[in-house]
Amino acid sequence: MKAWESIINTAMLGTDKPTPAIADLPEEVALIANAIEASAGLDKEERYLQKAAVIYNYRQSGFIPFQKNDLPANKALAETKPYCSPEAAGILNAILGEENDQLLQLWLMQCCKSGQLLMPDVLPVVFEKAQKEMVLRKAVIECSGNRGVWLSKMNPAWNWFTTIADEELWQMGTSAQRSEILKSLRLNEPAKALEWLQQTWEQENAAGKLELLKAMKVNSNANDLPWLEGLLNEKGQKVKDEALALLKSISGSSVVKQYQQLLRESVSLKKEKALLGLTTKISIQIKLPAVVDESIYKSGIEKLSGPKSTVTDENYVIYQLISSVPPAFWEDQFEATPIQIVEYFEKYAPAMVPALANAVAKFGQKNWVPFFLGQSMFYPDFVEMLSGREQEKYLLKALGNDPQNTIAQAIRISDEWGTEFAVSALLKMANWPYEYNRGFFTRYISLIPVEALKHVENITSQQVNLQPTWDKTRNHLINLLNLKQQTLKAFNAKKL
Amino acid sequence: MQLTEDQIYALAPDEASKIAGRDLANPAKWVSKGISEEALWGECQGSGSKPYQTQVDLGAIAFKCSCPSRKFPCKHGLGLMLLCEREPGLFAKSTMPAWVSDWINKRAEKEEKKVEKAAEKSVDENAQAKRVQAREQKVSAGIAELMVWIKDIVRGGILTIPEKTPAYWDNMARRMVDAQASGLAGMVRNLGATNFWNDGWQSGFIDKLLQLYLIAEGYNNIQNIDPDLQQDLRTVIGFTTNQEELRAQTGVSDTWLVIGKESRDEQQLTIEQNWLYGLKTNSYALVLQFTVKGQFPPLNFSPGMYLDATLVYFPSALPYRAIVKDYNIIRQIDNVNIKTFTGWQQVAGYETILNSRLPFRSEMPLVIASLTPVFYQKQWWLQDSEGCLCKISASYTNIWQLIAISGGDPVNMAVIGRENKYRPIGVWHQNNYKSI
Repeated sequence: MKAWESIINTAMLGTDKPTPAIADLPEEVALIANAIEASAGLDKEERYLQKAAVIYNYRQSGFIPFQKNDLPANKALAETKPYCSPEAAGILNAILGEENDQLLQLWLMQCCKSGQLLMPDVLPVVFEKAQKEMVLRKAVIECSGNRGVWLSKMNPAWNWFTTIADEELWQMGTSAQRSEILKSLRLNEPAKALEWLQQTWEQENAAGKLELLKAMKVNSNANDLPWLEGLLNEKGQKVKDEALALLKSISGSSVVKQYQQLLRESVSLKKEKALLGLTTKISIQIKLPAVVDESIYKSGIEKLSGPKSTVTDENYVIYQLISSVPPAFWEDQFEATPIQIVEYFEKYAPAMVPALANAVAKFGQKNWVPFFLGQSMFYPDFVEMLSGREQEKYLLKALGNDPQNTIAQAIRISDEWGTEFAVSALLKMANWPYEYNRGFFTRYISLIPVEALKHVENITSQQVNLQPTWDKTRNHLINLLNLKQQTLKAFNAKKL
Repeated sequence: MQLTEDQIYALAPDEASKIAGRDLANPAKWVSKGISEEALWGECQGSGSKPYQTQVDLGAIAFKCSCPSRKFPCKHGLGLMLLCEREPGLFAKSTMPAWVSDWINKRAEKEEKKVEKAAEKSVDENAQAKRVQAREQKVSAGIAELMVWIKDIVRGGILTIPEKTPAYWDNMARRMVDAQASGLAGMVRNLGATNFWNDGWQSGFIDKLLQLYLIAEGYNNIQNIDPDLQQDLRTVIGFTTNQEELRAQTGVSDTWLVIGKESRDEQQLTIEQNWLYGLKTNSYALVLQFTVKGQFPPLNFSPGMYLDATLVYFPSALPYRAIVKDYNIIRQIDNVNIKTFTGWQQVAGYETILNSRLPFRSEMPLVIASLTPVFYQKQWWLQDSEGCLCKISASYTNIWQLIAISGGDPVNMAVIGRENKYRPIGVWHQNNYKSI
């Protein structure tokens, strides 16, 4: 509005400058402005203020909305799936208020499973969560329906909604994205992942090579060997070290074969007749050959056990070698079955049993695990190799001896704990309420089953002075478990 | 329970109370609980030996709890209401225990006494008239100084105004406080709080300066103007209206929907604005509550709440600010028939009428039908069914939630603003009013 612009211009420079000319004013305002000009006794400031006040009111009253009828239609497609129930939406709001990503993930998973959708009003909040927590994205995309897809296109920060083909992402993505792609491809098509990496290897820089090699740990296998062996001639030391680490985890690699050869010469099962041939005396002979190829020590095997160690240097080298070869090696070496091999080591070389267990874990030989479970020693790596009841039994057994380490191991597993172990662990945790605090339960609530809820109320700390602290933590845990239970109930999850 | 979970959360004094209240919405926490037509109560086992006795007056949503918390409502009150909303089956209808009925009865007695006391109150009219006269003289003297100050600004031009120190604004605001014109003091402070970094600050600044001028000049000529407008001038300057006298008036009875609520802190005061819409009378009202920090506001409203209430408007050429004479919170009403504005053209016409009645009016809420948020020329607008557009205020933070709810479809919306810039405060979504 021209008259208003004129008012502002005068205001900027002061009333010594000319005020809007009456001729420039709209007809209705000009009449009043004339009257103001004609008024006697008004100074120029007052004249300006009065005219400005009239024009101000005229501007406000004469407002005409701007019309634009040709804006392109931009509507979300209708949903084909139903929205979640108001109860489920209420629980989601409580979870968002609690800022618990574990429970949010559970809620989203249940929503996906039941084929339902997030209510539109929470989409932006959930998108912001998924923006920070990549693990939520897949479920968020699935639960957001057409409204979510439509909404995501309007905010560049939510472009992760648009799924780019793996191959395109591999060619064009950031190093983190490429590493993720490679890992996921290794899970299902390890050979194809190797092929992709071989194609771009020469163009990668040292840091990129290192990251991508780390991704190749997933499903590493004998097919990778020729290429990995070639990497030992790479220029970068870190790349060479990573390639060597990978080679050491694959049976049949040159380095593993080298270790096996040395073990063949160093460790043997000796059977001798005793008591006039009535019994057989068995022993495991451990002795390194007089000359050991020095390249062994360059591959990561430590030569010395350290000044404070009670283990001899020779035994220490053998221990490392046993840890580094597939346990199946001993089936040929001792001409025995796995169960017999474990028994031989227990009886005749007990110090080497943990090394054998390490090898079982390193080469993922699940069939060997049961032969170690009866031992008093706890092998943390076996926890993830067991499943269901076996896993729970193993954890329960370890919990009594070393609760904190067992719990530290148990929180690494991805599946929910069994009720018996969860309750037993909570009984222990009640005695360390500063360690197992609100933050701990916020992070690991996905592991604690809702069935534990009925027991939690009665769990108390054995130390009276710690009880008030534990009470607060327990209340938080109860609240989280209630939310978990309500989430499952809202989606009629089978568990309840 | 008349309130939804969102509405209960809206009563919480802070985020920590919301979280603590949510933790207490758990049946295991409550040793006993019950509900009647008038009240909701429960005993919550806290850290003390005796459980805390928590009670809620359901008619007025007032709280009492035996816990030592200084927050209001406390976490126990919130937790109890949340539990009742989530699991109403857990609350058996029963007679109020003595500790609840005593409180409810005392509240009723207190209300009665208040009315009686107000009726009994005798006023020394001569002394009051003298006080009023003395104040008017002070205000007139203050306004004379204010006029000189305003003229100085326009004489010198506003080009250098952004360079003024805070003392420049503060001195005049203090002078207005001395002149017992607290309303003008606030307007001067607001003028000084203009964001001078914004492009086009000049127009907003002159708007505010002219409002100040209109009020000052209006007061100088107060004898010659309409009595209702006189009241508006006195109110905006800072003269108070006797609320007891207002309360004695008949008022407007209606079913009111709380369409918005906002709080802001000003020095030691918390100022709470509650915007109400009368379903039958198709009228809008602003209920203000002023509380000193640490005190509890008498009314606990949250957006989306429906009240059967009688409101009395402050005398005005444009009745808008009101007090709640009596009220009763009622259940949510389905299929509400709201007489909305049909579009921006109609809004413009309506605002012209408002401006002609009260040229220095503040922003008011409006319920408008079928508005669609659209992105055009790098900013968000609200488009009506005729294609007319008004801007969404740049300061509006819930734009993504609004867009998500709309999905590109038109929605009925409550907005606050004027001319071509508005801020959404709530939408009707799936037949519910939702504050955004």
